[in-house]
Amino acid sequence: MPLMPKRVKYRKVQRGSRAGIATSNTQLAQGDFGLKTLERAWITNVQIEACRVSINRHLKRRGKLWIRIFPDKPVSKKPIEVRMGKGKGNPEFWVAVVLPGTILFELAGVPDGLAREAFRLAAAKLGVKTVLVSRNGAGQG
Amino acid sequence: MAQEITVNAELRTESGSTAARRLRRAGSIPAVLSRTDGASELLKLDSHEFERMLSRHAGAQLVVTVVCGGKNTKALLREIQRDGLTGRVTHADFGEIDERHKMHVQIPVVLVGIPDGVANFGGVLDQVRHEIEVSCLPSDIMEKIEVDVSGLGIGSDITVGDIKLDDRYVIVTHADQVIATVEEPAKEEEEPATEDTASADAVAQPELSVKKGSKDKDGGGAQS
Repeated sequence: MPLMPKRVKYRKVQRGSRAGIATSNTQLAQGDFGLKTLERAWITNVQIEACRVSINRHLKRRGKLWIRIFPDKPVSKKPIEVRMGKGKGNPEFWVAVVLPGTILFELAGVPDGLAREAFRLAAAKLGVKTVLVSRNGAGQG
Repeated sequence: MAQEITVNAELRTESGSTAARRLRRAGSIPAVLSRTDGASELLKLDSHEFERMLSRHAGAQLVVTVVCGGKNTKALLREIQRDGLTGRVTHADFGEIDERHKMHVQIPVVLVGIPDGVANFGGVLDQVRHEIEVSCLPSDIMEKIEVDVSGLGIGSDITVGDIKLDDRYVIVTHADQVIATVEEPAKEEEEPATEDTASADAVAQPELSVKKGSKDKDGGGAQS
């Protein structure tokens, strides 16, 4: 099941700002390899789930995966063919706001080639440019 | 002690974020050297040369010789700041070393060997801690500590207390801290039909942490 908060204070929130570049979650915390975004975006919970599934399928139960982002922002939408006004639409899905430089996923316990391919498959599920970072210095970070 | 590393530096007079940004655009890295008497000197390093030096050495905290204006100073590379997006070094922090006094340094831990639990039982090696803090004389600082993990089975771990160093070193990090562990392989996932879950998720909503009754009193009709 895609990620979403268990409990929220408010059902609907405003869009908020996506300005600037990431100042936190920019370095590897646990794993040896990471997937870093180079663009700003709203990553939906379904996209995160698709990435997780594709990485796990490629790794075939090897390695360990960390998801470093969490979709805690509800996005509301009006039904189709509804006139403007009459209040804000209903929450439809959840997103994680990512800024350039944010680490999205981390992997450990797998060789370089396997991690690279797993992240390539995962990156195809996201609509943002990404780069692989590793602890031993291959790539950025 | 690893081989001697030399860092060429020049004195800089300008300080502040604007000047630092100007320096970076010109291909330099702003740096600071803290003296043992408490004074500090503002330096600038050649960006390309410094990054190449870092790429050749594993340790985050290195003992280097800072050459500035014909004067050589033994210093510890205490901290490097990197750009979150590009990974380039944006600032370097050196501290002059007093050769007679012991100091605390972070030394990287490198795991050696393939654990038994990984090779024979399909476990996953998880390195929890990548550095440990050690107290030693500046001349004894090593680039890395190698830890043999080949004997680790599934569910077992290596802690800081298991690392044996000679008398010149005192490990500051708590002995109970886990360095590496071998975990059980991930269980096979049951993957339900994707479309069904997607439609179910569209309906699922988290509960509100604010009580509904209190909202109604305030006239929060939008919540219902």
